[in-house]
Amino acid sequence: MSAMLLKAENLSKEYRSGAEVVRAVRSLSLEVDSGDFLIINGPSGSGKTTLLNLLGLIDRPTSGEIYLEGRATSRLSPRSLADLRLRRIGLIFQTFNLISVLSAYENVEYPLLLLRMKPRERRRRVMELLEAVGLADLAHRRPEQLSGGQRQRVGIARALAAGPALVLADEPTANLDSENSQRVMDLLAELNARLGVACVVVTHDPLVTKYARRIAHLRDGQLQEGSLNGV
Amino acid sequence: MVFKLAFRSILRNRRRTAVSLAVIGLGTAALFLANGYVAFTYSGLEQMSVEQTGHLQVARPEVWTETGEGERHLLDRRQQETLARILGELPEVVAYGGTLSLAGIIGTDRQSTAFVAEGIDPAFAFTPWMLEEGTKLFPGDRERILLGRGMARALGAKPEDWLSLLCTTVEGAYNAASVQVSGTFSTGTAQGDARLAVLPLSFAQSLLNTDGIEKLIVKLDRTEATDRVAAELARRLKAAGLPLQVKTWRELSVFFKQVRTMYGAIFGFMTITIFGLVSFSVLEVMTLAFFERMRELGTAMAIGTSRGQIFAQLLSEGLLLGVFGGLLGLGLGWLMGVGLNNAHLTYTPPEMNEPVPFGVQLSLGAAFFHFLTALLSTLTSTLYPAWRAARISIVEALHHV
Ligand SMILES: Nc1ncnc2c1ncn2[C@@H]1O[C@H](COP(=O)(O)OP(=O)(O)OP(=O)(O)O)[C@@H](O)[C@H]1O
Ligand SMILES: [Mg+2]
Repeated sequence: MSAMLLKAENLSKEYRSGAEVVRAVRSLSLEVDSGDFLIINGPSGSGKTTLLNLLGLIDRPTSGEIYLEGRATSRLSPRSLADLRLRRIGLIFQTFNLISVLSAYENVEYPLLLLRMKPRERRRRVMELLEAVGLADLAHRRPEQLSGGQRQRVGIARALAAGPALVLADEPTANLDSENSQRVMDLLAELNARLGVACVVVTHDPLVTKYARRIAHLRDGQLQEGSLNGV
Repeated sequence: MVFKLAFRSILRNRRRTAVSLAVIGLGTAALFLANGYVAFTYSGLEQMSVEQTGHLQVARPEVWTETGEGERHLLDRRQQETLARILGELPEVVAYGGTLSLAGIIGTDRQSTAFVAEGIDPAFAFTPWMLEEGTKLFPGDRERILLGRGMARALGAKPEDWLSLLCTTVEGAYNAASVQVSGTFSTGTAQGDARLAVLPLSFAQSLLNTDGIEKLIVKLDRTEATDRVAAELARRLKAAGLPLQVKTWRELSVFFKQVRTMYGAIFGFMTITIFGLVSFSVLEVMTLAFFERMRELGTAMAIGTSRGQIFAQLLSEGLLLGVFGGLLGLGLGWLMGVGLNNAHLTYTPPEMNEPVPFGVQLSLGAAFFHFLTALLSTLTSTLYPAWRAARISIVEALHHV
């Protein structure tokens, strides 16, 4: 298969509240290749969101290391991490998390502005992405004027805008009906196939598992033995 | 982008933004008006002080340091001529005239009172007080006198009445003369009105039996030139070997200094209070506004916005509020100021018996200053909430609902 994109080694994350210590992720190791489509499932509280936050570099592990494209990340400054997230990682949220005062167009444009892309190129790129998610017509609507499915498609376009190598999605379909879930997952699978973007999707949804190249089961912060089905 | 986002963010909660703008605007307007009132009062006082003391006074230093009676420190004829030559060389000097003060007793055969009179040069358009009745002094007038209105009333004296006057010459001999009342004036204070008188310099000189003068009062074409001309004059006096001192109206007018200090304190306090109130409410509003958007801020950071960029973004919201609030305040203040000025109000300050006009001086310089103040206070009070919001943990912010 293709080159290794992300490697997590002995990742642990502990939450401390008073005397109690919650070990949300325990000595977990994981590899994601470029072009991969990995689905992580597991019961509520098993540490899926925690793991995804670690992989997305928005949270720091208590111990362990994450290598992104061969580069160790645990000692990077917040600034470099922000830059890595901007350029290499796309995030998709369960609650869509669009910026409510910006239109669909502007939400997709936002990461490109952070990248300081030139206006003409930026415009072309935003329209291309909105077309890819089928929302070119609704480009100027604000999030509250869009349905949940449409919002999540804007979220996908935003996640892909800067041309990431890895897209992380935490229960992207949990707030959608089955028809919209299907559409969103089809879109992700298509973009994965067409652009070669690796996708890691956390979900409970059994319907979604058919998109996976690999499925990982998480229980008590650990990947279960043999749960990484190779292709 | 930063400003587009900032602009839309402050429009998100319109009512709250309107309240913040009102607070900033009213605060700015209040400070602008208060300051305009102070400026108006200062310029009125400045004019009044200059009218009373001239722009500059030249005299031997002892005139100002030795207050008791006794030896007079006068400028003799030769000194007066040198001084006149020097003043003639200064283009800013419009007019000048000598003064000579004397004290004595004045009265009719029924009433008499102690007085302090200033001998002035009637040719020099220097009129220290406001004439009430009769006529002012004219060049060529001799045995004529202007009385403070309190003194005139106490003596029962009307214009053109004759009074007797008793004083001592510079040598210490008694001298008496008859004098005709030319008019009465008001100094603005009851004390001054009861004791002060004005008579022609030449008459004062003959009463004191001298050709000296005590002070030379100088009028300039512009008040702003005062300090510069004072310095130049002092330099030339020194070069000419005249042991004389130059004082400006600012140094001479005790009242002006007192009022300035008092107003400075009052409006300093007011400025700090309003500044504090505005800053505090902006701080509250911003803290709330940023807290409400925690999840969006967390999202922005999660997708690659740095903390520095978030901080700058939030700060620019404060900047916008400051700009609009400041402009609103200036507009409001300006309108109210014009309204006040057109109402032609007057009021009588304590210790004064004449009403003075009430108004505000509206200047672009002050407007700019208050605009900056508004901007600065909103910016500084945005600083802390913005810093705090930019520091939150991304994961926590994303959890926020
Ligand atoms: N900030 C936190 N402080 C303390 N404990 C936490 C915190 N975040 C998560 N946990 C705990 O860590 C464990 C894993 O939580 P996590 O959110 O990763 O689970 P999850 O698999 O995403 O669950 P769900 O399917 O309900 O979203 C849970 O026991 C949770 O209570
Ligand atoms: Mg979760």
